[in-house]
This record gives sequence, C-alpha cells and structure tokens, in this order.
Amino acid sequence: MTLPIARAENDPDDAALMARLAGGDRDAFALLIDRHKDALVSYLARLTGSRDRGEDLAQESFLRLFRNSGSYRERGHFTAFLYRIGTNLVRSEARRERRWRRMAPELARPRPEAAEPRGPRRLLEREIQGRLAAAVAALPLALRAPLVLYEIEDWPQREIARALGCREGTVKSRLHRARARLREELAPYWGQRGGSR
Amino acid sequence: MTTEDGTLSRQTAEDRTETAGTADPLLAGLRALPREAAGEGFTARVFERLDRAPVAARLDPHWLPAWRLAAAAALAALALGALVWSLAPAPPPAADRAPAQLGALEAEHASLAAELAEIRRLAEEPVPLFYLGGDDEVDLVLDLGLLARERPRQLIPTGGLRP
Repeated sequence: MTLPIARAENDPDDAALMARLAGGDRDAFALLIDRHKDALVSYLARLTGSRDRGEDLAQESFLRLFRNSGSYRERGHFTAFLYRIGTNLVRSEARRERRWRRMAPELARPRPEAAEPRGPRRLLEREIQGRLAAAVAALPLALRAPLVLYEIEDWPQREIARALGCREGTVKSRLHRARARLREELAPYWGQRGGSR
Repeated sequence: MTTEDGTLSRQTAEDRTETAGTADPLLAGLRALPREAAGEGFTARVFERLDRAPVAARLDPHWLPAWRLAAAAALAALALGALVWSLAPAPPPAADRAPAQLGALEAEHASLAAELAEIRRLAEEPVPLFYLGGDDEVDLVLDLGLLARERPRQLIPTGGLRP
C-alpha cells in the first residue's frame, strides 16, 4: 500500500512531474495537486484543528511548491518536501498567532474546531472524537506534527524525520511525549486503561 | 519509506511493532479520527490563486526575511570591501614614481654597457689557437680558449675499467 494515493500504471511519478513543473508545465502541476491534495488537507486540518484552515494552508503549500519548483532537487522524497512546506506554514501561522495573542488576548483566543465526523455516529463516540481532536489540536506543534503523521497518517518514522527536518530519535521521543500528554488530558474519558507506551 | 515510484509506503513492520496489538483506546481513537479530503474545486482554486497574485507571490511576506537577510549580507560585504579599500596604502602617483624608475633604467643601462665593453675586449684578444695539422679536407685545431671555458671534468679511474 502506498501513500498518499496509488497512481495508475502509466501515470508519471512525482519526480517526473516536478521536472516538468520546473519548466512551468501547469498540467504537471495539476496532476501533482490531484495526487496529493486529500492527504495534505487531512494532515493540515488535523494539525490546525480546522478543516477550512487546513484546506487553505494546503492550497498555499501547493503555491509555494510551484514557486520553488526550480530549486527542488530530486532525491526521492517529494512527499516529505511537500509536507515540510505545509508544516512550516503552520509553524509560521502559530508564531503569528502567539504574537497576536500577546497583543489582544481576548480577541484571539484559539478556538480549536474539531473535524465533524461524517455519517451517523453514536453521540458518545462523537463526543470522544471531538475531545480527542481538540486535545491533538492543543498539543504544541513540535509534538502534534509527528503524532499526526505517525498515528493518523500512518507514515514511517524515517520519513517523518525527513519531513520535519529532525532526527529519527527526536521523532520517537516526541511521539512518546505527545501520547503521554494526550493520555493525561483524556484520562477522565478512558480512565487509566491502555498503559503507557 | 519511499518506494521506487516516489510514493511513501506505509509504516514498516519494525515501526508497527511499537503500536502493535493496540488495545490502547488512545491509539485506537486516533486512528478512528475521520480523515478529511480536499473540497470540491480545490485544484481550480489553487490555479486561481496562482494567477491572481503573481506579483504578490514574489513579495510574499513569508519569504521576506530570507530576502532581507540576503540583502543585509550583501550590504555588509560591500561595507567590508569599502573599509578594506580605504585602509589599504594608496600607490604613489606617477610623478612620484618617475625618479625611481629613471634610476633603475640608468643602472641597468650602465650594467649592459659594462658587459658590452667586456665582450669587445675579449673579441680583440688574439685567439689562442694551435694548428695541429690536416689535409685538404680537415684542419686539426686546438682552441685553448675553448678548453679554458669547459668545466673541469671528473676523472674516471681507469683501474675500474680494466677487464
């Protein structure tokens, strides 16, 4: 199984599309967007705690990709490159939000918006999912990004390290801390079951 | 893990052992979170944004710090260059250099003149040649001047060449 989306047999791979994009090929750009948009929106929505914000940042990520296609060097890590752009955008936004919060604490209070579950679900399940999504959104970005990529997006740790620009050991320790914080935060819902990994 | 076609494979078995046998409600809950998808017309909106602000893109505030940094570095390099230029000893003007150059030329002229005079003197000396004999075809001559100019050769011990 592959991430983010399996492609048809004759479709050009990401590297070939990036080479064409560097020459200004808009069709190649459209193909790249179509191939990666859902996974990127999902990741950024989880990272920001807002689907709309996630979609907006995903669009911005693709724009940055277009503008920087000339400087892209193919090493077989296109997805990590794209997600790094997205993560950096969230990081910049978090920095701006912190500054804004210092200036106007009451006006800019963060309102984590849980992703709405689709389809009929039991009320309790929905409540727990909402709490969990909010707790994830409230984690510091340094812990949130690896947690989302590993536990939700199902990425291997090595690739997460590449996307976030850190060592694999750092990813492991951040995952551990993120899980510990979530357990602590959500203990009233699940008690102390599940142990600590 | 990146596969040959450039896409990411799912987590490796080694990775998964860490979360295997997940009875942990937290991990199960995280994996059960609904996945989002891009909205209708996502790609078209990216292109709209791309076409709407091509100039603004170049002036995107997120990239400004990098440009500022580059500009500051260039200015610092220019300032440093100007400082080095101003501190370096200036070469004397051409008028000040003329007497020294004239002196050097005169000294060289005197040296060449002395060398020429010596050559003329040598040319006028009788040539120390001894005619040793010969026939219509060959003259055997011993030039002592030539011998004097030859460097003394190391003598080869004849004993070593005896059979």
